[in-house]
Amino acid sequence: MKINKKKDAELIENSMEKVSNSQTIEAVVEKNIKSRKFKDILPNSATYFFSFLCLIVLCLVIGFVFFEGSSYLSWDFITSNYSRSSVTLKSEDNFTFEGNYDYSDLERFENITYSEKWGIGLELGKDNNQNDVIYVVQISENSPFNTLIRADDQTHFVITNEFYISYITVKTNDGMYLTANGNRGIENMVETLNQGDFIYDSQFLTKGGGIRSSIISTCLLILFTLIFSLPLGIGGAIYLAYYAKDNKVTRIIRSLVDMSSGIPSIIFGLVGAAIFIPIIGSISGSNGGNVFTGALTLTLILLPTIVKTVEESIKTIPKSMISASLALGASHSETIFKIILPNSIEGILNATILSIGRTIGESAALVFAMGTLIAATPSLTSANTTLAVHIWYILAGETPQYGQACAISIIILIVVLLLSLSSKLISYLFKKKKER
Amino acid sequence: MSLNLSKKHKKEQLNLDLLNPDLKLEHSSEFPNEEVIFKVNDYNFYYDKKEKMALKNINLEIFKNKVIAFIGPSGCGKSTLLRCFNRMNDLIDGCSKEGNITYKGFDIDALNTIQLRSKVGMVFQQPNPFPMSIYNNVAYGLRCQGMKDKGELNKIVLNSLKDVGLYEEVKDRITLSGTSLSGGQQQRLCIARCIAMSPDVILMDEPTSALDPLATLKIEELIKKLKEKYTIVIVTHNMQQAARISDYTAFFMLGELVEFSKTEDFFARPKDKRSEDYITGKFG
Repeated sequence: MKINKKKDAELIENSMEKVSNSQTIEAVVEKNIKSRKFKDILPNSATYFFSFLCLIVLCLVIGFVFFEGSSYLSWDFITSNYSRSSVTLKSEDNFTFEGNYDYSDLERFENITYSEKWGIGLELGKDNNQNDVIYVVQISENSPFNTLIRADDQTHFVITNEFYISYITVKTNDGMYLTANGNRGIENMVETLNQGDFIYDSQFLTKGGGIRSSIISTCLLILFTLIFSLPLGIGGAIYLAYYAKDNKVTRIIRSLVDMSSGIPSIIFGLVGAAIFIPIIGSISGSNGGNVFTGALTLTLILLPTIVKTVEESIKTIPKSMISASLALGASHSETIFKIILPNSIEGILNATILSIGRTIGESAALVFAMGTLIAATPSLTSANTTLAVHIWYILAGETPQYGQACAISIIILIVVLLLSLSSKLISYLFKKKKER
Repeated sequence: MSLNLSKKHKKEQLNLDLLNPDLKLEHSSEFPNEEVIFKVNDYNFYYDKKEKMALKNINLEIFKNKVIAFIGPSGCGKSTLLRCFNRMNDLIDGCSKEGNITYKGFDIDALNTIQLRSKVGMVFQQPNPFPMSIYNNVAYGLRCQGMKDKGELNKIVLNSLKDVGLYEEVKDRITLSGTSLSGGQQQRLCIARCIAMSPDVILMDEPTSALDPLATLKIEELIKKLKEKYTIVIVTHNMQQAARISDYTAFFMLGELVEFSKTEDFFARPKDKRSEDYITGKFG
């Protein structure tokens, strides 16, 4: 700052004048206090207003997600597969309806509608898209429903309550065919069933729309990402903090590490798709993205963060401790494994938590590097989705399913919250340990 | 922390001759009664790629089972020379040296650093125990050398703690962290850690400057006791300390060795004008 001597002198002169005008400091304070108070209110209230605005926006986002998603969130949703499995059933060819079956073993409930002719109890329920569907919840021991066979391989199949009715076509004794669709209501279904004497054709579906495979894939991805990225990241951090000389090459490496943490993840996704998918494909014979290509891509994304976090942690270890170890005749590797790593465990744990959080949240890179196919059974060698990509997929379809997306978001939010809490807990525990 | 890993040293190797217990040490020409354990020959030392000269043409001998004190004003190079003996200066970037130092007649640059440092222990200015239990602190060096026999390890650790007078004080809390001890105890733990390796020489870099007078007294008594078994080189700012505990005194100034003589001679009849000025308090 350049000092304007002339101006300063003027200021001093002016102030001297003021004092000479018998304006004591008390009088000045007295005079200005009101306007100063008023001037104080404006920035203060602005600060409050903006911070509240931020808080409200955050609350609205989280509130919206919870409000929209909570009704979709259920154990079924978490444990069922995304794809529906279906069975097509019919009565055995030689089946004839005999009339009086004994259905006394059926326990009757109020909210279940019974078909007295077939001895089954139907209940209105929801699938994972929150559509009304009819479930077969009770079947009498003597019911002809127990003798249904699959249309394709003629094997017996007994409906469980996982399945809901897509449609049923019955044949009456006088040769009429009647079809009842599942979405036409439960009364229509029972009425149609009661008219028929032979199940001519029927389709049953499982709920579908669940996220089981995506959860498993996410866990697998986290596991493999950590396996790939932690040793690399910790190794890099040890190199930078311990071995690297302070020269041009090191500085270039450092700034590259810094820079690469700012590269948009979609570019890493591109690298993953263009490089890792062919390489992994040629090794394992897989076609397209899978957990490994996703984990390798995420490793690239996570490396700068891990290197930085662990390096900072290593730098906090007193140099004297390292010198002491070396002076006792320990080799460099012994010093690293016995002194540096145990004392930077806090940084390593924090880096792990950061990595897990990032893995759960990453979507753009994984769309290319891991695939968007929501698999029924997660496998290591074929395309999978993480929860975040699952959201992307169900929103990118023709009918975006916001409810399900919000339900998945709740899961992600809760996991991220737990991760950040555990990171806080780790810092707290280590601080306490240091104080002891 | 950065390391100087450049291979400008002569090829390092484990020197098997050093392990020979009957190794004869040469006697000093100036003090014929003393056996020379370290010999510094025309030694120059530079920091910052030869921009800063820290040691100028040092010629010095360190005698077996004696306490040698290095004194001198700050920045005179006494700590630098001390760290040359166990090659801790190699860890500093951009340093270089001319001349050589021999340990029992062998050039230390040709010795394996692990072998050298396990025979030449070091105690630092700040007590720096590892954040592990007292027991593990003492056992650290031995474990690094590959000692696994628990009974032997126990024996050495307890003997080392007894030697430094720490055993009685900590015997109930030997599993407690070494950092939980007081400053003086920590420094004695560091000495115990050092003598557990049964070194020949212990280098002490102002070991008492961070301690209170009582703890200092204990360390000084310990040093007097230790010199029966070990050679001790101690850097100190405290001239009284040097006079109290050392057998020989080396006075450094601006990277030069001004005077090296028996301690009683040095303080009673300094040969050099600068030594006299320093010990009479005209500067420093």
